[in-house]
Amino acid sequence: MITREPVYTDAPATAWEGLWRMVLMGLADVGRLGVLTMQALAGIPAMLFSRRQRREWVRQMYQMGIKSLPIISVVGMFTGMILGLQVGLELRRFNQEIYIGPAVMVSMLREMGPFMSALILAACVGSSMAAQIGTMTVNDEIAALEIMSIDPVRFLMTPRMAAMVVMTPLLSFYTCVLGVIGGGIVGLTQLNVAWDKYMTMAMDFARMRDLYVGLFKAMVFGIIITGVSCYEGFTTRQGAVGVGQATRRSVITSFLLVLVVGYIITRMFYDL
Amino acid sequence: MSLKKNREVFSEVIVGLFMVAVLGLLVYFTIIISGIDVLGGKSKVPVTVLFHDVGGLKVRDSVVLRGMTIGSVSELDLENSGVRVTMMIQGDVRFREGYRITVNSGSLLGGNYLLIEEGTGDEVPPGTDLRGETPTDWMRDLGEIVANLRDATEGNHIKNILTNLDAAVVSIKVAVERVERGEGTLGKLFSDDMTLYNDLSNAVASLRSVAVKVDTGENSLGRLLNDDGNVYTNLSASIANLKSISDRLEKGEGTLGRLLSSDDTIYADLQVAVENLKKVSERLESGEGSLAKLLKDDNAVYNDLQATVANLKEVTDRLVQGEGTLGKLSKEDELYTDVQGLIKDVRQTVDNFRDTTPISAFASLIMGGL
Amino acid sequence: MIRFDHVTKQLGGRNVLDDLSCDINKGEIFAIVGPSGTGKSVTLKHMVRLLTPTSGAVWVGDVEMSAVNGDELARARERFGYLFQGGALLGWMTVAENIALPLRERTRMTEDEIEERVMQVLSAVGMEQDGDKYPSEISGGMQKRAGLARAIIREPEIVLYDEPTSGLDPVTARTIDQLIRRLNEELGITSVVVTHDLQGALLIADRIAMLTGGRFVEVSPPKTFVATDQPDVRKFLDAQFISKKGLEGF
Repeated sequence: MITREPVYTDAPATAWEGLWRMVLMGLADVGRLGVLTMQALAGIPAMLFSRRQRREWVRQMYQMGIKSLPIISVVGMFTGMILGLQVGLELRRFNQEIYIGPAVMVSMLREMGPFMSALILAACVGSSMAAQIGTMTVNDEIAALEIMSIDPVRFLMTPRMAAMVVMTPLLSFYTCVLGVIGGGIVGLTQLNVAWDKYMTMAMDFARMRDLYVGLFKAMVFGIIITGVSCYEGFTTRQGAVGVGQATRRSVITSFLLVLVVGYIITRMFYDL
Repeated sequence: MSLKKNREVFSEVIVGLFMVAVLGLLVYFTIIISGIDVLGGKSKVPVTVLFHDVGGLKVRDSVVLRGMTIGSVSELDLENSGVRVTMMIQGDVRFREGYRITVNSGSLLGGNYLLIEEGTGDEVPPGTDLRGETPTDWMRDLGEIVANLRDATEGNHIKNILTNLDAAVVSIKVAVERVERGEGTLGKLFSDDMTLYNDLSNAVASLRSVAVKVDTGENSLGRLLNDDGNVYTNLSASIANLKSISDRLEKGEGTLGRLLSSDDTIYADLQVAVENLKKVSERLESGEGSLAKLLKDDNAVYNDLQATVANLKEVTDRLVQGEGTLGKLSKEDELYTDVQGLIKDVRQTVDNFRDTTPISAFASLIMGGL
Repeated sequence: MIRFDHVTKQLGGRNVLDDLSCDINKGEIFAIVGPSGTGKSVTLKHMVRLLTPTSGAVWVGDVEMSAVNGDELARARERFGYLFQGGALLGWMTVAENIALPLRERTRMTEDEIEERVMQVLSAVGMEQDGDKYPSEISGGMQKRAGLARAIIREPEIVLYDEPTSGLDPVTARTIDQLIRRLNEELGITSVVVTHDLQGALLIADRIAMLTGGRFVEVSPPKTFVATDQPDVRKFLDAQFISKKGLEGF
């Protein structure tokens, strides 16, 4: 059941018991986050067989992906430009500005593409998801769904999860492309690196493995953002104030998890 | 409501515990622990190597075996006599006798790596401390050379060096000129004249044949040294005569004896000569020494010697008997004149001792005959 | 039909329901009244297992609602229609889509059948013209009526009304009351109405229960209810200017 009542309804007898309950409830929250995420992911195949659910999925992809394109474009472009400029300034000391191509390409593919798009999506899409589901929770809409025997996870979370699993890698790749273009623009206008030289060098150094790991990372980030945001939405309490808190927590938790998990994935795929 | 009754929440607590544990382990293995290949599954083992000097090696530098990176440097500890380097490398690397571990520089800008050559001998038992070679830090060597050069070019060093160099060049020039002119031994060696070389080579060749022939008794000396009673008897007789003469000389008898006794240098010279003769004869006896071309394959010299010895015997016989003359010995006029002058002097001496001993006659013989 | 068996519910360190027992009969309109914060909604939520009793049991028919889980719970819940205070319509769907949702998600009816059924319930709540509007475009009373339409679209045996008339103007409130009465009469639906609008309750209810201090202090038909001498009920009735004669004075 998504709609929950508190586990402990009596006040803790001692401070230690209170602490113990906090630990237990913290673990339960983490576990619930994991269970919800798994349920949402497990619902994806069934979703694909339902026409209405597929429509909802496409609608969510449009909502999350296409509507995020403008902000993602600006962020990706400027990320690439900053990378190109910073790396170029250092490389200029060795007269090796030509290498900004590989530098921008590799760092975008491996890290900045997935990371920046994940941050944008956590801030834009994740927070709106948490707010929307949180509002539904405080308005008894989730409870209404449950009483209608409609599983809120399947009905609300799965299409969002599926949309994010698809859109985050795509947006990440889009960020990479724009980042590389941005780096090229900086190289062309600020560092006197010819465009075709820049692109040749960048493509030479691009490895499919970097792309795959980057896309995989982005997908994991998408799962994390959706899971955290929906979890925060479903556990919202206390009306409008609760919705605000849920939104804030969802963004903070998503950011932290994206950072930590991003590091771990990088470390796992790139052996020292 | 207690937690245990709420099975849903209870299971979530378990799931949460599991997730936190997994995340914690991942964080531990990827952030705290290094040298673990999380996905590959190949665990790495620590190997310590003792270096006297690591030449700028740093933690996390790669360890390369046969061109493949198999691990990284995980620790550098300063020790009394050097540096203990701990590297995390794949566990299947076996070190054998003759292994080499060197610090190589990856590029001009720095960045070192450890190069391992496994060696080919017996396996080094695991756990023993391996020894690394002190790297040739050519960057530093280059620096030292540059520093020395700078040292030399600054101050008086360069002046000294130049002076020395100048002197050396002059000496060399002189020496070379001499050589060019064919002066000195080296010069002669360098000169076009092949005589010395030819002589030397001939001498050596002869010597070898002599030695062989002496051994087989083929030539004169060989026969001398081998069994030939004839020569021996003659020689023995002449030596016996010589002995008696020398005996007399020793006693200071006769004109020569007197002369000799009053002139130490000549006597000493003679002694040295005799001694040399002895040495020569010894060498001849042992087949050593250089007797030069005198000894030839034919027996001419032998025969000559035989004749000479025979003559010598006759002469000595005659000398003993006080007969003959010595004038024929030399055909040179000067010598003849000198000898004649000498004979006059000797005759006076001989006259003083006419009736004494045969040695006087021998002395007459020596001094030109009577 | 619905039986509370010594139900105690602890919330926030106090007993909101304290050893509550009662029976709700099939086909009747059962109104639960009482001051705010006494646990009327909590009682209602126990019936559909949105809350689970700390102790005691809730039975719906022969199903122990407080013990079932999973699919069984889903099936048990399908016997209910539930009208939330705010209507609980999904904001991104039109009224018609909201109403059609239970049919679309839980039945295999064709779109035509669904459309027909939606029009039926929309006309039942008097909203034939508003099916294409979004919840944010209609008034609170209409949202409640739309929520009611959604609650009854699967023809449930039991409909639970959580404050159906609160926040509405008296005219609209009476319309809603009439609607509840009509549904009960026409479809034979068992209705449980939680309200603090005592006048509405007196008008439509077969039995009225007064919830104070976690238990029903008075459960009786309207006529008996207004005539009771139970002090809590008396105080509550007096506050709404209702005499022992009931509503006849109005």
